[in-house]
Amino acid sequence: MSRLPYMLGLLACVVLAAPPAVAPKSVAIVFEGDNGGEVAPCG
Amino acid sequence: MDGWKSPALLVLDSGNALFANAGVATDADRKRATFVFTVMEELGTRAMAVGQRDLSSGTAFLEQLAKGKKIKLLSANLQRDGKRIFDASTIIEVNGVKVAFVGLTTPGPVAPNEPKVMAQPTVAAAKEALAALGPRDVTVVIAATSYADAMQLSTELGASVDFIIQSGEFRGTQPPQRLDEKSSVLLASAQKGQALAKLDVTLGNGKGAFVDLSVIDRDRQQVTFVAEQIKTLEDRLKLAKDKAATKSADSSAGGLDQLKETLAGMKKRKADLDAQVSKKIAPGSKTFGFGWTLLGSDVVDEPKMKARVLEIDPAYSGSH
Repeated sequence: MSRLPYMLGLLACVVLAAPPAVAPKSVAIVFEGDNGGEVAPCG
Repeated sequence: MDGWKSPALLVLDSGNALFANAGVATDADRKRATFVFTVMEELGTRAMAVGQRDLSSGTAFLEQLAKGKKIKLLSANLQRDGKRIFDASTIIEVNGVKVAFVGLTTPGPVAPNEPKVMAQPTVAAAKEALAALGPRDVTVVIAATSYADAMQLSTELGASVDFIIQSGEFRGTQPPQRLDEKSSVLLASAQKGQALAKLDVTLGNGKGAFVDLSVIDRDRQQVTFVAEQIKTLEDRLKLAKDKAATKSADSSAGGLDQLKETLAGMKKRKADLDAQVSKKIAPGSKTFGFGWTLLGSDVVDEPKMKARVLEIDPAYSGSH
């Protein structure tokens, strides 16, 4: 696990690299919580 | 950040995003909070529940932060002088799916030095907000509350809510929870950005209850395992028959019968599992899948963002 943990880096680096497939009437809800003021090194 | 163009993607934050501690904030904390919120907006975050650790610098700071932004701050139960401060809910349509979100804040005096600001009990506020919602396909409560409170919401709101997303207790990456089939599905939110949750919802024909694909996946893994066992047994049986052909029938009959019996049992088990899987996921079923993406060493720094981070956190060493 990271030394400094970040949600924003994940959003930007991981999910963007593999956007979800688009099926009819479907939605991918991606979320984070309890970030607690952490900042991201990538994005 | 051009990747946020998928028409089926909806980015959300379940709250407690902005401050490390509740009830107190320094200028440096406010700078970090502003940066986090700014990047959340850049990433396309559509809604966020107001958590206690989003109010560490007070309600006015948060209201000012959100002014003119696209992120919708939600809390059905946070009040000032008896009046709601933020919207209780919002409905966002993505790829033909209308998703309703109701936000909740952990009950009590959650804003420092603001005695007139109080988060009211969650269940009553949630029910009122749900009753006021318009037509929607999926209903989600974002509960920036304790896990126990979220569990209570899950049982008391029941089928009126499809999913409850909780933040506030650093619960880590756990699978979906529900006490019984009548309860809403309860999802946690990991912590400190160490993981990102993805909830894949497919409406199908829109009828019936949601089928949890992670349960189906486990059943399918069982089917695969049993199928492999059957293949092994069939190979052993063939070998045993070949050997039996060269020996007296009496010396090998017992072993052959035992193998045949075990094989028959495994085939019945596979047939039962096949039926179970097909029953659970009938054509047109409403389904959901849920998983985590963990931040590991494979996630590399992005130079422009890293430079912005170093302005906020000069001590950052530059690696995960």
